[in-house]
Amino acid sequence: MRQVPPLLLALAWLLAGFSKLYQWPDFVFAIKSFDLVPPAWAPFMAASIPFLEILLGIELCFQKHRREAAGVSMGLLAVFTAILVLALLQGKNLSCGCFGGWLDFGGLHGSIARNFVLIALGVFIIKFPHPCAK
Amino acid sequence: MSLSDFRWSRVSLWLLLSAFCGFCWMAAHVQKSSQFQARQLLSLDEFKSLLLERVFVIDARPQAFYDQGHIPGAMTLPLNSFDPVQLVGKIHPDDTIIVYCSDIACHDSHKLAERLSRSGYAHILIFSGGLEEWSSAGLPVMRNTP
Repeated sequence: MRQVPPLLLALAWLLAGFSKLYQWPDFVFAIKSFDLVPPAWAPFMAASIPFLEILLGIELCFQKHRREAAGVSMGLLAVFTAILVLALLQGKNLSCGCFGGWLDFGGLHGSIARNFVLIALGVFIIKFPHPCAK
Repeated sequence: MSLSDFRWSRVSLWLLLSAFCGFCWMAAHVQKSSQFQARQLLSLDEFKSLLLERVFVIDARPQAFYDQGHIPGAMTLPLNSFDPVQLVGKIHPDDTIIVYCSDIACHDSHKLAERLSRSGYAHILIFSGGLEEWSSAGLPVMRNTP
């Protein structure tokens, strides 16, 4: 049972990472549309974030560095959520590009809700580590 | 688990590795997009002048991005769900089609142009600057709000 949250979070990261790489130009555009970083940085960020997500997804599949991966996941998700909330407060009607164009449900509200669920998975992984990982 | 338990070296390694892979990915794709220059690419001015004629503008990005903002008059034909049957009765094989996607680094317009060409459409042009160049020039962007 304790294996389920890490694997769910891993699946989410892997899906998010690969979909962003597959539709990289659209993720570049999504980053630019949030207007938070200089446009010149957007291609590099759009290329680096998916690789970090894929790495986290892989690490979450294994017990050795799972807690670190969960901690970094929570940090990353907190940053993503803050950006989405900010966009929402600014009245922007944007797609976060979180899963490329594959899974776009509920707009910004849906993305924020999904991030909270993923953060909760991260909390579970850190709070209830696998006995072998202690 | 406290922060002191964290293996920071591992976290740093992930960040460095991601940045390195991201840089390589970006370099590879920017190089790839520059190779497309040899094709029939349109500048913004050329694109705008062609809009005065009978042309069909196609947005190659996913539907969600099209809804978020697109060039007025453009029809959506996402690369990931491309089906030439959708165009039957709308666009004649001899019509001029202009394809665009997000920006200069975007490949979807090139891939869609290839598929359209294989589907029998003869006059296909690519507006390589995409929506970014269009909107940066202060030109209107249409949104489909739910």
